[in-house]
This record gives sequence, structure tokens and C-alpha cells, in this order.
Amino acid sequence: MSLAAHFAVRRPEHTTAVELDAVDGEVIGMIGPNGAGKSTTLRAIAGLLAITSGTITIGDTLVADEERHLPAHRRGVGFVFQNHLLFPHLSVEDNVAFGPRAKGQRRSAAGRQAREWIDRLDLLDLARRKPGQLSGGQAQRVAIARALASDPKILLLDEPTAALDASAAMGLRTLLREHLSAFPGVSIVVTHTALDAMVIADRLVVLDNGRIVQTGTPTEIAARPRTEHVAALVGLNLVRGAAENGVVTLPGGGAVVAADQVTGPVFASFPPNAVSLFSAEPAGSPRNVWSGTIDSLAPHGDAVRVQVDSFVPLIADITAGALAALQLRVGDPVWLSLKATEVSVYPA
Amino acid sequence: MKSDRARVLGSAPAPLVVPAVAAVAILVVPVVAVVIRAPWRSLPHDLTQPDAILALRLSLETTLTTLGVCLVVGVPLGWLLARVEFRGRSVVRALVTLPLVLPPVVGGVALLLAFGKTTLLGRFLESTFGVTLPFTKAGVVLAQTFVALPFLVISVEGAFRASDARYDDAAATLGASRWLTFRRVTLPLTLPGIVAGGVLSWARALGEFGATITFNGSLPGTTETMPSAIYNTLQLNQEHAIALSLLMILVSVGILTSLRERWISGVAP
Repeated sequence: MSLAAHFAVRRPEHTTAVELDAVDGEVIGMIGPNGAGKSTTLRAIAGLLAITSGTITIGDTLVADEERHLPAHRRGVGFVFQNHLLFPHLSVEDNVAFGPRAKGQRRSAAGRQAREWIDRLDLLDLARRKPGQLSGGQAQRVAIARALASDPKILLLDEPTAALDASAAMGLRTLLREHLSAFPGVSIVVTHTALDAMVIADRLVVLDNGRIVQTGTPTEIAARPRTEHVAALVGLNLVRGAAENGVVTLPGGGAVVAADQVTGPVFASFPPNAVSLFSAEPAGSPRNVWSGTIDSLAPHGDAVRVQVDSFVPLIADITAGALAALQLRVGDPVWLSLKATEVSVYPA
Repeated sequence: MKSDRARVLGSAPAPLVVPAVAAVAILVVPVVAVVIRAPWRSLPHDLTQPDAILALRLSLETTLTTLGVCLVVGVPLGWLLARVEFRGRSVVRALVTLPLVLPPVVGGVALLLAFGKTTLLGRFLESTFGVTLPFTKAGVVLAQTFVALPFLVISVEGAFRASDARYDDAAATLGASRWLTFRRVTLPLTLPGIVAGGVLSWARALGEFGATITFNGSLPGTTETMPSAIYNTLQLNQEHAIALSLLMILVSVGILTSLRERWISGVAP
């Protein structure tokens, strides 16, 4: 079912104000740093949190406004929690049957419905186990089966892969892709990983500081991030400034030269592997040369990711060989260079 | 035999060990004295005396009723105190725990002043429902409930607090009302704590003496429970009183062991 969420949750310490519309079958990925309001948004839609102003409408039903608050158990919003929250005293099958039973189905009918979902999520041989006997990935799959078996109009998933190791997360990602695209209603997946967002979602919503700052397809957002968080998530350097004939000047000082002759307020982004490092000031063609000090060094795939404290924090990916040749350590001064053609510029 | 910790940190210091041993002695010596002085040979005879059986039966009957009353009203109160924020919650909690620190005799006096035959409430109960509380079995149950209920409420509230309230959220998103969530999620998850609280309050009711005797006197078969019987018998026949005391010690130890094995040291099923 469709969703129209136009609401604000005001708290003394922070405010979350969201304008979000979604159509049937849409899978929305929600990304943003900690404290951006992602969980608040999900909990408000689910009815686990009262909104301060605005409205939330699911299908044709107004479920919340300033005065009214349809309780969570009557909203038909399924929720998958980060740490699954399977009922520890119930078997996998009884956990999955809990929703149908709560809706008043008889034990046998609820059991049938539960087994159907258990089968679909490939959990048949775990049906008799208790949650304590499951791995993290299995438990999260059961949690998804449990949410789907309650026949929700909308499905919300709060960082479903966050507590899992890499291979379990990969498996769950594939499974989510399959089941969320088959799900007839709106689903919203909050995630901290770029891969989840890219693989699972049809559309991304970027939250920052309690507001939606960008929406678009994963490809659009990855190519043109508008927040540092997303840039870091997809592994890009991002600066914002005023451009004049391709020279982007930052409000706090420093400039990035782009090949495009643009003018006006812009974002400029460039990939870390386009940034070269030198121990002395480089001579030659590059249009961008900056100095800085090394903040951290960490392996990143086959390369080494170097965080440099320059006019803004920047990341550069260099080969292990280059690192050895440069003999760089944390705290060392370093020079960075970047070709103007590597910089993409888009309106802010 | 020294543990690793003692080897590394040195032995426990005397200023802590000596008082600790004294504490154990204070608690254990009187109980051991009863066991030593118990008339083991005449025990079967003493415990099958009609008055002993009468008192034991009355105690079991009233304390089990008390336990039932405590569970029926105490578990909901514990849940409210743990899960619902309402005005005056801390006041309610303080009032509920007051009988814990109140001398039981004072509790008995208070019950007399509230439910005694000549009081407003007492007269109302008698004229409307034909119920008289003082000097009746119902009065015994009331006195026992007065002292035992706080134990149940406190431990049940603790159990509800310790259980993760996020399960309530999960249940709500699956369509369960709060009442259903309470029955199918919260109650099963907190059952060990509720059982422990129930046993604790039952043991307290079993040992209740001050409030019961003040409110109800001690009429054999009606209001003379085991503790009253022991007290009354002690004046007439010391051996007999010791036998009854031993019986109560055995019951208490039985309760403690069952608690320990099933609910305290064990993990929730």
C-alpha cells in the first residue's frame, strides 16, 4: 500500500521533519549518519512514536496527525529490528505464527501461514528451534518471515544487516532484494552500508540532521552525493563551494579546479583513486595541488586508504608499493595532486 | 586450596573476613540450636497431635489463598509500576512498600482500625455482604496479604523492568494489543521472576505472626496458624513447640532449595 508521511517529531534536543511519499511496491533505502532521524522516522510511521505535527497516511487511512494516534498494533506496519527481537520463549514457527495469531486466526490456520513463510525464506529445518539456537543471519531471516507473515501493508527494516558478519550480510542482502521486490506494499530499509542501498533499493532517501536532503535512484545519488556522509559511504571526496569559471572556492578557504567552466553554488566530487600523493611539492600539469598532514592509513581492498587533513579532510587511495616508496606515516606532511578532469561538478 | 584470584591479589583481609563470619554465625546458630534441641524421638508423635495438624492445615489453606490473592492483584500492579508512566507512580510505589518496613503488629492494629467490627468499613462489610473480617479465616488471609503482597509486587516489578520492553514494540508491530502482548510475551518471559516473587511472598505469609495475631487473635482451627500455635504452645509444652518450629524450618529450607535450583541460579528456560 502507498505511504504519505509528512510529519515532524520535535524533541528538546533535536527535530525530525520528514516529507516522504512512496507508491505501492516501491523499495526505499534510507541512509544518513547516526542521529539523522532514520529510526525516528521508522518508529513514527510504525506508530511506536507519536508525531508532533503533520500527518501519516497509509493507503487511504490517516493513521496519525496532531491529535490522533492509531496504535501500532492496528496500523499493519511490519517492522524488522536491527537485533531481530525474536521472542526467546517461542520456537521459530511460533514466532512467525505470532502475527497471524494476534490477528485472531486459529492456531492451525496461523501455523499453516507461518509454515508457508518459513518455507519461502528457506527456514524449514529451523522451524522447531528457539531463537537462542540460531545464528545472526538465520535469526534475521526469521524476523523477516515473521514480519511478512503478519501480512503488513508496509514493511520497515531498521538496519537489518548491521549486526551480521560480511558473508551473512551478503546472503541477507540477496534475500531482501528478492522478497522486497515481491512485496506488494511500500518497504523502507534503513542502512549504513552503501552496498545495501545499491543492491536493495529502487530509490534512496538521504537524511541529514532530521531532514531529507536528497532523494533519487542509487546511481544518481552515488554519482552526485550532496552530503559528506553519502560521499564517504560511496567512497568519494565531496566539497561544496561557489564556482567561477570552473574554480570552486570553499567558504572556509581553499579551492578545487574543475575542467567544466561552471559558475554558481556547486558540489565538486572526485574519487579517492584520482588523488596522488607526494612527499615534496609536485611540479607539472595537475591543476590542483594541496598540502596536508596524514591523519590515518588503512587497508582498503588492494589499495591503502589515506586520510589527509588538508583544507578539508580528503581521502586518497594509493597502492601499497606507492606507500612504501613514499615512506609515509601518520602525522607526516604530504602533498596531494588531482587532475581537473577528474572533478565532477553539479549544482548545489 | 586457593583460587587464582587469591593467588594473584592475596588473601581476603581480616577486617572483612571476621565480621562476615560473625554474620553467618548470627544467622545460622539459632537454626542449628532448634535442630539440635529437637525431640527427634517424639517428633512423629508431636507432629501428629490434632492441634498441630489443625494449625498446619490452617496455615497451608490460608497462605495458599493469600498467594492467590497476591498474584491476582500484585502481578498487574507490578506491571503498571514497571511499564506505565502515570502521575504519582513513585508515591504509589512508596505506599505499596510501606508494609515492608512497618512492624507487623502495627499492621495488625491498622487493619483493626480499618476493618474492625465497630469501624465504618467493618460495619459496611457486615451489613452489605455479611462479611466479618477480624477473628476469621478471611481476616487471616487479609493480614497475611498485607505483609506478603509488597514482596510480590517488588520482585514482580523488578522482573518486568528487567525484561526487554522492546519485545512489546515487536509484538505491537505484529498486531498484538497490549493485553495480548502481556499474556503471550511479557508473562512467559518474566515467569521465573514471578514464581520467585510468589514463593518469597508465600514464605512471608507462612511466617506471618504479628499482624495476624493482633487482627485475629488465635482461635484453634480458625485463626491459629503455625506461628501462633508455636507461640502459644511454647508456654505449655516446650518440646512440642520445638517440634513445630523444626517443621517450619524444614518447609522454609525446602522453599529455599527449590527456589535456588529452579529459579535463582538457573537461567530462564
